[in-house]
Parts: sequence; C-alpha cells; structure tokens
Amino acid sequence: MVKTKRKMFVTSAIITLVVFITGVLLGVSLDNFKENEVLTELKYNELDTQSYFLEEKFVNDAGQNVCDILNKRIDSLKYRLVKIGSELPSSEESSMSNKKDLDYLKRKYTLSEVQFMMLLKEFNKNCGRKYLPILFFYTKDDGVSRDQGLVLTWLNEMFKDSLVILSFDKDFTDEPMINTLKLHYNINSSSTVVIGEKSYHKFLSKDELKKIVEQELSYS
Amino acid sequence: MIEYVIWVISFLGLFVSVFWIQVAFASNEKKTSKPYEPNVSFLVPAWNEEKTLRKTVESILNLDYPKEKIEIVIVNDGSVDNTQKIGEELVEENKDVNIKLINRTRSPEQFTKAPALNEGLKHVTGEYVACLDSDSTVEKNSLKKIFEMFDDEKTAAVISAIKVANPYNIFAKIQRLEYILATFVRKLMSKIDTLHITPGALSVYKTDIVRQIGGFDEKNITEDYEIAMRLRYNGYRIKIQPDSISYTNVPDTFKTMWNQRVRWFRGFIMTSIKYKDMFANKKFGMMGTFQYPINIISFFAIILMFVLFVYEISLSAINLFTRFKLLGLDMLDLIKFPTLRHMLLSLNLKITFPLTVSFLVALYIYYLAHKTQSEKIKHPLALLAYFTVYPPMRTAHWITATYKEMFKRSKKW
Repeated sequence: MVKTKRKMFVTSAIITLVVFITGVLLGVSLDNFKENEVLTELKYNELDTQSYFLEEKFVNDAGQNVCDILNKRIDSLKYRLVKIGSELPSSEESSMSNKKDLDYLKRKYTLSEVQFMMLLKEFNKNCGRKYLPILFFYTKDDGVSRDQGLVLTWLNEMFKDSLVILSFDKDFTDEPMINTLKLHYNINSSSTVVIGEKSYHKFLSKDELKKIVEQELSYS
Repeated sequence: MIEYVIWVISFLGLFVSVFWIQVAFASNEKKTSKPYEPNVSFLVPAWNEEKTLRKTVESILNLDYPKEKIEIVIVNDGSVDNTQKIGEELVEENKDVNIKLINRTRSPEQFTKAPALNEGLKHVTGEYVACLDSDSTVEKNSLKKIFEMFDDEKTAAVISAIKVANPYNIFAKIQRLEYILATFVRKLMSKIDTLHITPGALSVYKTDIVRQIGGFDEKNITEDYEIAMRLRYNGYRIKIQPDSISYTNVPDTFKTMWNQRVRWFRGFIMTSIKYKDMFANKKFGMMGTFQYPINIISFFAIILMFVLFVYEISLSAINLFTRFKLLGLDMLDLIKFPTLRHMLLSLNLKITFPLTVSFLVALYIYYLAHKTQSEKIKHPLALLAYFTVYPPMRTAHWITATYKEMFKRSKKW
C-alpha cells in the first residue's frame, strides 16, 4: 500500500503540475494575442495617420477645402486611439514575461498620442476647433493621479464630442518624447493637467474642470 | 500577492482532490469473511429527546442481530421533558431485552454529552459499545455489517455511513449533500488509514480500549471527534463500513445549523491543538504526514481566503467611496458593462484555468460520492446553494468558531 500511495502522490503532483503549466501557457498565449491585437491596431493607426497627412497635402495642393474632407478622418483616428488605450495592458495587470514587449507597446502608443495631438492642433488651427485636447501627466501608483484620472474619465463622458484626453506616464523615461513634453509644459509635480496651453499643477475637481472646459469650448 | 496566494491554495486543493480520486479507484478494504456477532452495548445519551428517543431505541430493537447479545443503556442526561418517562416505558415494554435506564443530573456548567456517555460506560457490559445519538436510527443490518470491519487488533472503532433523516427544507437538503460527501471522504480516509472521526450516529468501539484510554473527554465540545483523535494518537485504527447505514436528524433552521457548525469547528480547533504532536509526525503514518497537515492547511487556507476577501471588499468599498466623494451621483455615468470580447481578453488564465479545472474535479468528486452511495443527484436548488451560498457561510462558521475559541467565549451545546 505504501508504494501505491507514493505512486498516487506522484501522479497527483504530475497532473496538478500539468494543469498549472497549461494555465501559465494559456495565459502567455492570451498575452501574446492581446499584444498582437494592440500592435495591429497601432499599425493601422500609423497607416491612417500617414494617409491623413497625404490626403491633407494632396487636397491642399489641389486647392480644395481640406477641412470638410479631413473632419471625418479625425473622428476615426480618435476612435482608434481610444480603443488602443483601453486594450493596452498595464504593467500591473499584465503577466507578459517580456517587459521589453510591454515597453515597446507603451512607447508606440505614447508616440501615437503625441502625433495625434500635433495633428489635432494643426487641424484646429486651420479649420477651427473640433476637439479640445487635454493632456494628463500622471504618476503610477499615485493617489492624486488616480483620482484625477477618474474625474477626467467622467469629464470625457460628459464632453465626449468635444474633448480628446491624452494621458502620459510622466516617469516613462524609456520614451525621450516624454521629457520634451515635460520641458515644454513645465511638468514637475505628480499630477498635471494641460488644457489649451495652460498647465494646472494641482488636483482639479469635477466642477473646476467642467468650468475650465466650458470656458475653453465657448472661445472656440 | 493575492494572485500567488490563490495560486498556492488552488494548487494544493487540486493536488489533494486528484489524490482522493485515485484513492476512490484503488481496491477496496478487506472485510472479514467469518460471521462475527459479539455482545454489544448500545449507549444512548438523551437530553430532552422525548420526540425521538422511542424511534431510536425501536430501531435498535429491530436490528437483525441476536437479541440476547444486545444491551441498551439509555442515559437520561437531566432532561426536563418526558424523556425519562419514555425511557421507563421502553424498559417496561421490552423485558426480553436488556435495557437499562440511567437517570443523571446535569450540572449547569455541562456543555457536552461526554459526562452522560462516561456515566453510561460504567454500566456497559458488552465487549463492544455502540454509541448512538437519541435523534438517530439504524438500518436493520447495520450492526452485522459493522462487525465485518473489525478484522484486526488495531481497529478500535468502526463507524457507519450517515444519511439525513429529514431532508425536507433547504437547510436540511444542503446538509444531505454534505453528509453524502462526508461519507465518501470518510470511506477514502478509511482506505488510506487516516479516518479520525467517530460520529454520534452509530460508532462502534471496543469497550476495553475506550475504557483504557480514559473514556470521553468531558472538557471537549466535540467529544466524538476528540475520542477519535485520541484513538489515533494511541495508535489505533478507525474504519467505516459504508454498507452500514444510520439516519440522523439534522438542524433545519439557520440558527440551529449555525450553532452546530460553530460548535463542531470549535471542537476541531480545540482537538487539533490538543494533538498538535501529530503534525507531520511519521510515527502516526499517513495520519501524521498527510491527513493532519491537510486539515491544518485547509483551516488556515479558509482563514487566509477570508482575510483576502475582506481586503478585496474593503478596497472596493474605498474605491466606491472615493468615486462618490469625487463625482457624487455623477459616478453612475461611469458604469459600463464590459463587452464579451473585453471580458475574455481580461481573463487571467494563469489563475482561472486551474480554478476551473479544480471546480470540475470537485463536481466529479460530488458525482462519485453520489454514485458510490447509490444516491440520486436531486434538489437542484440545494445543489446550487451548496456551491454558491454555502461556502461563504461555512467560512463564516469557521471565522466565528476561531474568534470564539481565541477569546474563549462560553461553550454552549
């Protein structure tokens, strides 16, 4: 019986290990799938942006009204960027074994946000303001940043047809562009919101934000 | 952190479940082939059992067993109802059977039936003593079947398979499932020689061994569990005879069920501490190296899961409060139902896959438990409650028992 019991223990250990290893492998496969999904979206975003710039140049050269044509293109670019942002795994929730892969995705996303911000500024300048860009510089694992993020999410729901909120991890030094943005907007405190060209280096309540945004939108 | 705790607990859970399934399919225990019908004394403690005592004694009298070899010792444990009168009637009506009625006074501090059992033990003359609660009954062939299992000197006790006599409401139906599983697990424990419980609904002991180890512990809240552990501690074996069936009335209200479970779990804690030397001790065989550690790990796993659950709930509450503080009722604008795609992509398969497998293995064990006892899978509502509502309730029983035992709150029956 002793031999039988030992055999049973070994079999149990093997079966349990197989189940757990399968779980880990499935988890890694799902992570890879998610990563590929985000990568694909980012590629399409790049393609759309390139197409946007070419179309803008072509229409401009042809002497036609660029604004009517590009209006809808902006919407699709915004939609895709929001989708990527919602699917981008955070480092806490991701079980991706390769941190480099995660950082690569984050860098690509950050650059896409910056590119969209610049494109939007250009569009707003030439065609009148379509979306008000709000930049949010946050710190990971920071209570104020978390609260500000929550209020901004609500604000985005309130003014979803007039706002674009672009979030940046201000400590993500792997991407040099972050430092350039920080210098430009004079970012040093933990949570900073940039609306229009003005930086707010403090927590903004929903009422304060609502008031600022309404004012900004009324100028346009 | 939480992820890893759940991971380790589910790993151990699955490991033990797979082990038990293998034990279930291992060859059965040997039974003695020669008919064995020794003198048996039934010990029936009764405290305010006027409604059930007669039925209990009548089931003993109806046993397929030579009457001259049966003795019944009813211990009226200071009842204030008609228990004594019914006991006297039973003695009067069955003069052909040796029935003794012992009336004792119950002290106000008494919180177990152990004093009644010890009192009865003094009057027992049989080679074997069969303890039977006065709210339980036995099947006709249950005693004969039990003696098939007393096949060696080290076997000090054999227990029966208990079935619920009153599965009429949701509480009792849930307990019916619990008893089916308990019998199955006891059978598996018996196979690997780790059985360590001798419940009140028919457990047959060798009288001299029970006397030799000092009878029932009057300070323990679950004397049936304590004596079983003491038998194990002294190197004796306990077996189950699944073909010997007894029936017991289970608590059928939330309160009575709650009190019973808290008492059981307090008894488990008390007894486990008392026999802590057995933990991982090779001297006690599989009982020391496997069963006892599993019992203790399960206990701490329940407590740990409760702490994590409270932690998660607190975090959610704080999160909700923060949202309300920041947004007021506007926070409702943020409520969105995730899409199926989003839900599937958010799955943490490292955790959910083994948990799903563990759940399926648990279902299979339930199926096996029913199958081996020829029980039908019925009462779907109770089954649903058993897998959803009952686990947190059991955790609450454990937490209450732990709290009461830690702070030595009074012990009530």
